[in-house]
Amino acid sequence: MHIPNGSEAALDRLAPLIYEELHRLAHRHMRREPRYQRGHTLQTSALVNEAYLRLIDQRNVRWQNRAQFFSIASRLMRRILVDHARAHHYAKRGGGAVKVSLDEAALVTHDRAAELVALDNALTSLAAIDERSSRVVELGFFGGMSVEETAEALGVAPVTVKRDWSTAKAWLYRAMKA
Amino acid sequence: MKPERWKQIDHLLRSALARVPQERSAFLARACGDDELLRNEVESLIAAHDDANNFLNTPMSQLAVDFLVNGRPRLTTGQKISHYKIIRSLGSGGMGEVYLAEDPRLGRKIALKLLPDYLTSDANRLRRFEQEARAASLLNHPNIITVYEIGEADGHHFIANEFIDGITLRERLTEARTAADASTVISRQLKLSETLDIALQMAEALVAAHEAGIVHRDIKPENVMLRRDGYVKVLDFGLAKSTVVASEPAARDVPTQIKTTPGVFMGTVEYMSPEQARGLPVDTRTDIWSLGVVLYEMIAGHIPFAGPSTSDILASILEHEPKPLTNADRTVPETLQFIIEKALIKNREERYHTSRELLADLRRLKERLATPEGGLSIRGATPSSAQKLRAQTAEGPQLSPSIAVLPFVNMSADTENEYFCDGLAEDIINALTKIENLYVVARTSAFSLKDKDIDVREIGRRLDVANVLEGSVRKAGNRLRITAQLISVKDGYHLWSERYDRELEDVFAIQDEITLAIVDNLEVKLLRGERSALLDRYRYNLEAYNLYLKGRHYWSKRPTGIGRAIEYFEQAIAKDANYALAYAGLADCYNTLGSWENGVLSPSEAMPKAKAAAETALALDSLLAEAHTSLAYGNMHYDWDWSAAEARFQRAFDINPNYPTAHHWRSHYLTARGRAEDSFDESKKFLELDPLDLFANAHLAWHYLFARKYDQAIEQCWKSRELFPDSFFPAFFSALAHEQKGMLVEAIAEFENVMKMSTNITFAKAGLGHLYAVSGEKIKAESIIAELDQISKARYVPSYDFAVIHVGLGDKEGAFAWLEKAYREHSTWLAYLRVEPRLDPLRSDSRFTDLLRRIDLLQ
Repeated sequence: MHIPNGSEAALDRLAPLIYEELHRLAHRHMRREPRYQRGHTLQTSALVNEAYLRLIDQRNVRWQNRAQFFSIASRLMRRILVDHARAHHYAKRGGGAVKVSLDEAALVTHDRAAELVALDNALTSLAAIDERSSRVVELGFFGGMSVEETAEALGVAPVTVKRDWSTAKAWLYRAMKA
Repeated sequence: MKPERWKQIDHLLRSALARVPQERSAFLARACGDDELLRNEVESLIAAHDDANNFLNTPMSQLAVDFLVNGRPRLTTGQKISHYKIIRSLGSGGMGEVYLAEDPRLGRKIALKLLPDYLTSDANRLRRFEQEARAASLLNHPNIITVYEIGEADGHHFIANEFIDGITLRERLTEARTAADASTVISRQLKLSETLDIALQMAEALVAAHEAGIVHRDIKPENVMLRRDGYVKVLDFGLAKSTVVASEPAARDVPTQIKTTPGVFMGTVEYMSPEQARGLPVDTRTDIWSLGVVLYEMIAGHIPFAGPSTSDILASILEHEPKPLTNADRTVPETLQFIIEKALIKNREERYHTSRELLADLRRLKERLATPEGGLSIRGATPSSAQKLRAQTAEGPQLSPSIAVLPFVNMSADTENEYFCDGLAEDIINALTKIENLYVVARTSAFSLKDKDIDVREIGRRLDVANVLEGSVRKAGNRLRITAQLISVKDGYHLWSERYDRELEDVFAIQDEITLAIVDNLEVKLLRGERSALLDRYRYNLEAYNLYLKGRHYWSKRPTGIGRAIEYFEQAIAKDANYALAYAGLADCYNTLGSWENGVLSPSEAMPKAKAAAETALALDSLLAEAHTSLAYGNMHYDWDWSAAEARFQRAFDINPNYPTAHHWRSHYLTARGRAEDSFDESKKFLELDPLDLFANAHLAWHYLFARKYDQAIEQCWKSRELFPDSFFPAFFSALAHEQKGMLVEAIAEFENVMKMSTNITFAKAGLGHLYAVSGEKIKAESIIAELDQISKARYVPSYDFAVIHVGLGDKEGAFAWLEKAYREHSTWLAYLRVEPRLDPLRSDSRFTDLLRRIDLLQ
């Protein structure tokens, strides 16, 4: 399987693959440490790294490069988490349509869920005027990538990533407060 | 919004953020012109940026865990508790979760604290807690957090507090410590003046509480908030005691966070008094002890009673004397040591009896430090004005004071003196406009009333100001008589007036005195550094100034002079800890040590020190072109943040267009970015300003070299050599230029000259190594690698030096490995990667392109 560079089509084709892997890994991590405490970290970057290695190993996928994988994985991570948050958020607000059972979604803390949905919306608006900055946030915040890794994925200098991060944060914060 | 518009906004936002807060609004006013919308947009983003400190800082991993596992119900954004609307969580501590909320009735933000379960689950405990919290809530003091309400709604017990926009003293201490890790210049302690200011305000809070019969019992840095405007607020008065069940007498007076399960200590014990540690009943003197511990920590950078475990700490509190503060690596006034010792006497009978005594001692100390022997008080607002200000603020917000400075009336026959009179007023206006909290009528408006015989009250009404400064000048030969009156418009009352009979040369001093008189009499609140910005204060402290000049002299003789330069700058700082110029000098020494004074400090050691020193300088005086320039140097060489560097240079030029070093280093900046012609212009400007500076001469040759204008480089080397026959730089650049021209024999001859004059400069050795390598002298080149390798066992040798020789040897792999290492070292040489001719063989490799990308030189 050959993946064209970072395109949406690639994302759609790969999504199930990576999603499955991330989910499986997350569950495994949770099982290994069943009484997860606050402060214990389930590093998303570690998760993504692990997924990368496994997918490289097993599925015979020819990735363009590591940066491309990270790009896609962080976008997926965003989808997964925001979907969870949205489901929970609407369940609480709508009060009925979706019955939330005692699965992961039910344990989502309510304000975090609302915040995350708001962040996702704001990030989408930001992408319309500043695509790169929105990617910087996606890679850093959802993908858990370092500044250097983000810069590599976007083909820019680390200092550019830092600057984008700082102004994007201000923009998003304002958008979410409004 | 359109992407183009956002680009514009984004650009302004970044430029504004690069400035100190008090300069931003003036900058935006200039940059936005009539575009109100643009300005509003940028300003609201700046506000968001300032608020967004912690936003998105929680790694997603943490959130993922919360999503999957952590199910504790909490308050949510928009939820209402009583009539308070929750905005967001501020965090949680031993006293429960805290939220930022809005009180819609009064339209203000509050901090809403939910009491923890262990407290609310026991009705008796809760009742006693509420009783004491209510008593404490009656305290009304600017240094004590205001409690608005203690209540219950929907099963939540809560306390609604004043919301403090600021950080805790703990965070401040951590900040100082983090800065210290990178630097020995800025010690890990807080500054003496800051420490005193915080301690004083804490003591004021204690006095108010103690005199109302309330003991805090849990004074520690976590319970002290530092508001952005300098106010210190003590939190959680009266909350500690009643959280403990009465049937546990031994634990009765143990602070909140400590007791959760009987017999189990958790949390902080470091600030407990010996009587608390023993479980004895406590009185007001326990707070005095704890304040003593906090004070000690602020001064020393570490707590006085420490140990690996809680019981070790308790033992230390009960038995050990703290290390004397004189051991700390700076001088602590004896009086302060005495104050701390007296607060930390284990037997409370011998300790300060009352917080008022402690406060009085602190106040005396501060006043003494604030006024150098009869000299100009230049160490910040005087205590009296600070106190007046406090009184004002306690009564509620006040409008900033306002003033119009009228042109001085010319009392001399000579009409030429008109200019002099106008100039005097103008200078005072210019100085006053630097103050954020003072409204000053612009020159044109103020001068429009010139020669019109209008009553002061009418002037005040027309210009919409509360105060007017007017005066007169009589000039005869070299003698000068200046009068000045500061008049309140409301009642025509003279707030201040003065007559100066002086020599003409004193005119600047008189201007400064008038400016300061205005500030003091209008009780203007000065921000940090503003007072020094008002006057060119550096020439007043002659001793420090002379030391500074000596430091600069030796700095100009770098590399060999750097050590002496640092000594002099440090001596200047020892004379006056607020001497901003000396910090800028120190910053430049470290800039140099971190970039090409090889083998002394690695970039990661030196450059953060440079940055910290420059930032200290700017905190003291934001209008110091020298310090902006120092930062620019680090921006380009260490952070590879080119736009930040350019903005800093522009800032420096705004302040002082003729600061030679700013032109010097901007010429490097332009060379690094491949803008050769612009670089030459800057070099020439530098040369004009400082024709006898070695670097003004030699670095122009270097820039010609990197622009591949080898003949011009060689010619410039000859010119430099005539002026500076003892410097190895002209020969070095000449050698490199000859090498690039293919004149290898001449190049080697030049290098022999270099080696005679510089025995231990590694970049010179590496240059020779590279030359040997390209001349086919592989063995000689390799022996230089071996030599550098040997040196690197004892001290830092830039990886870049090795890379250069490996390129010469045709060893691409080796060269890239060393360059990669140089990247990790943040080697300052990489800044010139784009233009360095010796690296040409690597340019077509994608790894080289990737390096350029990472240092943001790929355009």
